[in-house]
Amino acid sequence: MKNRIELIRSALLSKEISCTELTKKYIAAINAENKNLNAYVLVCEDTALTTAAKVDKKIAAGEKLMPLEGIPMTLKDNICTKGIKTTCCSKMLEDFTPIYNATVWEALNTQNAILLGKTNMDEFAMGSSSETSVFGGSLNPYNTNYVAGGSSGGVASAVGGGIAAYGLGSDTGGSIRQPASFCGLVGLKPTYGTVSRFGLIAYASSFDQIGPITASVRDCAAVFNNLSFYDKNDATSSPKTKKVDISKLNADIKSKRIGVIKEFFTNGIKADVKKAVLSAIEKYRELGAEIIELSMPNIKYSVPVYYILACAEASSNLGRYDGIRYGYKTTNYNDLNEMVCKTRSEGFGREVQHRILLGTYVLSSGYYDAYYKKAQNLRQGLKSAFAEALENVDAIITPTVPSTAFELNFSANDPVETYMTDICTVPANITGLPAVSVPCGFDDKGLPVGVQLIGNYFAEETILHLAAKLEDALAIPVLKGVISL
Amino acid sequence: MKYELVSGLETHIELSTKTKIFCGCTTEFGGEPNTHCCPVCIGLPGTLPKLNEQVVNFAIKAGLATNCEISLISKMDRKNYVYPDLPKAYQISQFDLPLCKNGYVELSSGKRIRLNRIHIEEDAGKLVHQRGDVFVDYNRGGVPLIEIVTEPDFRSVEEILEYIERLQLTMKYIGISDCKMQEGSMRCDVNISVRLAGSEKLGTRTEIKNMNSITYIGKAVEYEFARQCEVLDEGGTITQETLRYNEEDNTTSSARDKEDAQDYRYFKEPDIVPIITSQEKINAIYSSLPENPYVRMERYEKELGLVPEDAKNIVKYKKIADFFEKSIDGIKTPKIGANLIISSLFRKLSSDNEKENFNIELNPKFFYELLKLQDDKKISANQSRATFEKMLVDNKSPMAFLSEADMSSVDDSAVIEMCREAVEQNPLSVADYLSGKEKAIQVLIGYVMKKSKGKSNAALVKSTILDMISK
Amino acid sequence: MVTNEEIRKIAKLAKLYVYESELEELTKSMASIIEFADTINNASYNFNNTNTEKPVNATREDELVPSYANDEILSNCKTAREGFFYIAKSVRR
Repeated sequence: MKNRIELIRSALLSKEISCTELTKKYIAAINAENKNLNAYVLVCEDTALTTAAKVDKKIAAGEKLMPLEGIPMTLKDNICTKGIKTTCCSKMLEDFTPIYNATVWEALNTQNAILLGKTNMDEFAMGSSSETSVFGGSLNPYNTNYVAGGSSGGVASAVGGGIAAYGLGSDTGGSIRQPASFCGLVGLKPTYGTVSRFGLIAYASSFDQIGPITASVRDCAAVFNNLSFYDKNDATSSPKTKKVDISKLNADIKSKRIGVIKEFFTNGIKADVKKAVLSAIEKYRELGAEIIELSMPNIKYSVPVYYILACAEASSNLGRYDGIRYGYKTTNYNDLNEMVCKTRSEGFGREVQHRILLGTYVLSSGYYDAYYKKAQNLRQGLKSAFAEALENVDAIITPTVPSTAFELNFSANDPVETYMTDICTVPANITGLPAVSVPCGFDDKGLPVGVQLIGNYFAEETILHLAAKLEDALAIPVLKGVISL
Repeated sequence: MKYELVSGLETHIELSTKTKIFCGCTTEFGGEPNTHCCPVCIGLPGTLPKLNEQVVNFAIKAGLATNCEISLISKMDRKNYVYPDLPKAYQISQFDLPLCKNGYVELSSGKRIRLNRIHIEEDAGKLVHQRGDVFVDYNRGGVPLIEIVTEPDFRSVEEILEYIERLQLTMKYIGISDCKMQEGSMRCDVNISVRLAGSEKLGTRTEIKNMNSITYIGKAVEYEFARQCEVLDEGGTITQETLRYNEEDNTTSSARDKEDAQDYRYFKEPDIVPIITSQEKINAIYSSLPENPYVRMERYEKELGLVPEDAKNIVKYKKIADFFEKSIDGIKTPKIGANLIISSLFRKLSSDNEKENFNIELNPKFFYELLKLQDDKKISANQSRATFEKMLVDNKSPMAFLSEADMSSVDDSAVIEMCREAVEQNPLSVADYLSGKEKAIQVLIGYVMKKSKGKSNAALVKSTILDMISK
Repeated sequence: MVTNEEIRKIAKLAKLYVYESELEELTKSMASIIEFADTINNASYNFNNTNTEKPVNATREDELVPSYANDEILSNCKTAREGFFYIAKSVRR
């Protein structure tokens, strides 16, 4: 029941349900559920139904369907959709309508993917709970007293709550994997350079990647295969992208070697998370994999390294928001400089302003060497450490997050404590390695726990293979299936 | 001189690639506002830059033409500052790994003006002032620039002006820019400081930005030098500041409000990957470069026997110089070709633009034929010029305009005979000349020229007649 | 410990308007964030810098691509006039 894409596809092809009918049911479900989940910020009923009609025509004519054709999905609201508002859930872009499509959307739209709407996120992707969104936080479908996570909280909430079959989020420090973990879903941050960033509204250029949030590993692989291709518009796009052979996800893992970074199991991890992750590791042993202990003493510095470098890039990427060419503009000013400054202070929320200030600070004259340069060196060091480790193991296993979903408004209390919850996810962004989160159990409140697998560059197949084996072995039921199927 | 001028120049040159540095929009000058734009060059959220290969090639050409070292590994950096003509609030430029370093431009005195670096960057849009409002047009935004930075090696205004001229011609020659200062495709920022003559220490410098006229640069430097000397003489100190030059009253004044110096927070541009250049590529570009115009000028003087002025004026227009060289291959006195070009061709192509474009149908083979006739003394200089002017209108072989009879040479004895006849036949004109009317000699010369059907050497005729009269 | 004056300066550089009444609070928040960033000074530096392969020379040909129409370029600007983006009554550098 988890492989929604396969389910929907065969239902459409066997004419069990029409694409239009299916889309209408999803739209109705969104209209009913969204007030409970606050997943969607924009619903695209008309365009969705127009595309659904196109798909139905093709089916009626007996034409072959493309891999993701007719599947109702959602995009995080920082992915540019031509003619459809894209706001990054910020006042700064409240009315912004892109004049071009992000490359990934261009690709999926060509496949007649059914865009049900744009989903909620932390403002400009800066946050771990989706609560910095100007529309408020998205809620966890398992328990709406808890957040869906961030920054791709809206996608996770929608996919987990069954009001989208799958979605695309973005991940800069864990923003796909953490919400996937919180909401009992699969979330993949691909190898940096595998999925085009053209049209992804930038937070931190050398960290950002777009990736799928899905109900199953096989769905994740299917979506990934349609996103990973070379894009000439993105100079950081790699010509080495590889597709995943889904038929191989079933194979034996008896010769596989999985590394465990011991430092992740000592500080700050919640007891029931530790228990669930350790039992996942045990499951891998049962399946025949060899578990190897690794040590990375510098790993805890990955969080401040991430914040220094990501905020530096962000402070520069967000400099363009000044009210002149697009976006929010203040009405209360005397001259240009005041206009720009007030527009930015009024248009950006608190967390965004803090990160811009930190980024400006670490790049400023007198501080560059002590912060930015030093963090760059540490980044290089972490890359080396992981490269070395991955010479001996096929993948590294970690908890995705040291805890389960936060309570509402928890993040606002102590930003630095919230930053540290990124400790397991940021290393993949720092190094550019691919990483997937897959459900491995629940805590004592019934909230999902996720386990993360980090692989070598371009080894998405390796980590998805391991993830699929665990998913099959644990057989954790999914919260919601496909509507009416 | 009590004080010495110490000056350096930063020159921005717009490259004549077809498209902008980071997107495929045209670099064409002008156009309706905001019609040469796309999401990338106006910096819309989500867009990414993609580097134009030709920009790198042109920059390497510029570096090789000015004796620079070309960096095998180079990168782009972000220069962060806020101004409405800069849509991303950062300019993608190069900070610490420029494409070219440590070159020089040699002046006629032999002095070398050292170039610290040449790097590539994107141009900003243009602010437009209309009826008290300020608007912006991003057509120019993203046009590729090279920035050429000298060491503070200039010691006189003449050196600065000569450098600019040499840089302009060199860059035009290698075909990377039309270097038109008045159109803004070449702009100079001048740094000026003064110090006591003989001192080693550098004084505080001021900067005059965005100058796009050679004449005004000269005036601005003169004014600023004098101003700084006066300030120091009165016991004052120079404030480091950016100045603008006021054309109306030939002064400089402060261009910026007193605020903290800009902190550009340079860091490596994460959206652009490193630029790796192979030695093979550098060698290939080097061998494709045309001859340096100043080396060419010297060759024209020393090997082809042209006077310096003529060599300079022909070399200045590359297409004309190329045409000239094609035509004089095998001619013993290339100077005669130069004379015709300077007199007749330049007169026909009267404007600078026309000479640059050399948009005229003229077959170098025909020009060679004409020069050969003159070279072999089959026709006189006058005949040659007359024929050439016909060829400029009607691109044909000179033989289309000359008959057999025209081409028999007039020997010296015949000339002398005709001169004697002229003197005899025009006693009044002789008398006039001897009594001080210099112009009267023309009548006598004209007589001979008519008699010889223009084929005699005018200079020889004149000297022969004068000789005869003075006896 | 970062001071009010430093935060005021950084805010100016970042083009963020900070009301005097908010400055104290902001400085406090930023102080703890910067302190957190400072923790990298405790990291040790003994590792080999292995160079992981990355793309280089990702360039494009000098080929013309049609530009966007003026009205599309201006479509998100509410104060566009006569084909231009409007800035202000005057601009001080």
